[in-house]
Amino acid sequence: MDENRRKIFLGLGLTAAGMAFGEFLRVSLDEDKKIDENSANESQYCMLINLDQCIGCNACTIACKQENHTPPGVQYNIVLKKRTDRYPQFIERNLPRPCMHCEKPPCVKVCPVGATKKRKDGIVDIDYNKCIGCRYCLTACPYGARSYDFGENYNNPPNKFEKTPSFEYGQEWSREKGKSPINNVRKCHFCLHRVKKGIEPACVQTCMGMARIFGDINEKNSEIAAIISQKNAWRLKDELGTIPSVLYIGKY
Amino acid sequence: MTTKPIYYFWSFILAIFTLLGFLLLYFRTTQGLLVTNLNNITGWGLWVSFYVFFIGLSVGSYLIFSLGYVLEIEKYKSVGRLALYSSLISLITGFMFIFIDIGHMGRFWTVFLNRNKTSVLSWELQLYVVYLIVIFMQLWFLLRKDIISHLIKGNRSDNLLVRLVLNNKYDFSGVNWDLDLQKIKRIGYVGIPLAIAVHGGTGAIFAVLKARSFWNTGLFPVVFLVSALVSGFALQIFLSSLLKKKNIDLIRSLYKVLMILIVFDLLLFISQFIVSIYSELPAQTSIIKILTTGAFSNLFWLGQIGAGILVPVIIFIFQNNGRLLFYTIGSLSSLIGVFITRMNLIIPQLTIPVLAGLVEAYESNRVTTMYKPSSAEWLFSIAILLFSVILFIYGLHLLPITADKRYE
Repeated sequence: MDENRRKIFLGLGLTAAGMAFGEFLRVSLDEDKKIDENSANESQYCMLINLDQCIGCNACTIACKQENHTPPGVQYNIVLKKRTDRYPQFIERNLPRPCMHCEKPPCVKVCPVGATKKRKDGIVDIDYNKCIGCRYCLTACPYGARSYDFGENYNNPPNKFEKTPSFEYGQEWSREKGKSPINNVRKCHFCLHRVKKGIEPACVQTCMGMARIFGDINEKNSEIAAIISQKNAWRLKDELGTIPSVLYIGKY
Repeated sequence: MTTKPIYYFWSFILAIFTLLGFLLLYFRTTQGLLVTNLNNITGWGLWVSFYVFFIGLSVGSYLIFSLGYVLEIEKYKSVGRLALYSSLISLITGFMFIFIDIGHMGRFWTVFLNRNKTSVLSWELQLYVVYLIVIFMQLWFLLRKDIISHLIKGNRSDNLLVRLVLNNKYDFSGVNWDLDLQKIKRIGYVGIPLAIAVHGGTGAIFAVLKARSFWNTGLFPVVFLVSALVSGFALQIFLSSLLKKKNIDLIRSLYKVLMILIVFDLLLFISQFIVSIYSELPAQTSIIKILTTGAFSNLFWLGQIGAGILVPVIIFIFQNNGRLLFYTIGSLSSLIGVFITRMNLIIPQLTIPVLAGLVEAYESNRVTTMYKPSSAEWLFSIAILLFSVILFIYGLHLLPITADKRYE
């Protein structure tokens, strides 16, 4: 009896060790695949938003919608507004909020299928074809940056503009019933498909107050690196330790 | 086990409901989550609450089974079969709820290929499979003697099951059935920690999210486990009071344990409440406000406190040696209370946007702090519940669950 028990415990121990080793092996092998040919370089993309230059016109929101053909309820970029004091002596402040592309993204950690990943260039992407739509990441994001594509359209049936495919992550995505990106969680990707071609993200290009600066902080002569080194930049919800790649200067 | 007409009746009903279920599933596949009132602020709703409730129910029932057959507390052995069987059906019900909640239902199987070692949910999904296998194995060793003897009695010794178990020798007496109990016990050494991991893990799914401070405590998975035990005991009392009417002493003893668990559950909840109120952090106190005076106050006072605590406790105080019916009512009330507690733990925290002004920044009815389950969500939930009840009754007729003579 005791012998048997010992054998069982030994067997269990070996099984557990084997499973742990297998898991370790699998993860370590998978790690090599993660390195994208585009993300192998040393660049770290960051966005700097000067709140003193933001007028709250929401042009960035519109530009983003046009670029990515997002449906109602899905907005990669929003502008939060805060009013202090009372009318007529009130002050309105604006806070544009794209995805923060955190250095330690809580959303990447929780994804049960590993569909969302932190790229080496700092961008947090989503593999639309992998995502099962469980909305765990949506719950885990401290910035509310993720939204679920329910399959709604502004017009019913969708007009020509809504039917036009978007080019997120360099692929063509037309929103058809039951196919990705419908039933997926979606979010801002720093217009990765534009960045790959050397163009700025749509929101940065469109901002008339020139409040947004986008660039590679590892590039020594970049504008963004220069400003961050001179000015007091801050991050949203810094206490959570997510270390966002979106930095703000100015008052909110 | 039976071949009476009632068995064919339940088979027929089960077949019809399975068919209806597939029709509903087709509807859900074509419509996506549009049929729900879920939105981008409240991403999880009624279905996830049901899922958490049923996983808890399964783990609670499993642990009661383990008290009898693994820890060998004799008096719990008579509910052992029922507890293990209801644990299996609850688990399957939980699976159905989480299955219809995911956006791409056709991709559900990929969770076993694309694993993510840092994701609690990923670990959970793998554990569910192991847990399901453990339950199946234990149920098999628990019931196989009765199944085989029934098949032999009915002159069906050519049945595949009989041939497998008796090793092609039609000699029934040569098998040492006592070894089966030993096997159950040994599997239980893996099963008990596994069950605790399964539901502690379900709590951890929520507890690990630092974005939601009401969930983000070490107490949260423990609260889940204790509520799981409450619901497990309540379910066993409820089922025993309907199916094992003779055994009132056992039901009374189970009810006493239920009381202790309810009080312990309350203690944990009060602890979490006091810490939240004392902190005066808006993220924490806003939850307490919503629960006690806000949109969820009815659910909180009537469901969580009233049905979950007051009714069972009052029945215990005034009907200490009372009739069976009171125990049925008390345990049912406790079950409803636990479900509403699950809803109150999950949904109110989600209705609070993570950033101030988040909702106002959108122009969409899919971004709102209001969440009320849609009629389709209720329809699907009721359909799944009905299906599970029918599956349960069907199995009750098919398998020797209540035919355990040894411990009556």
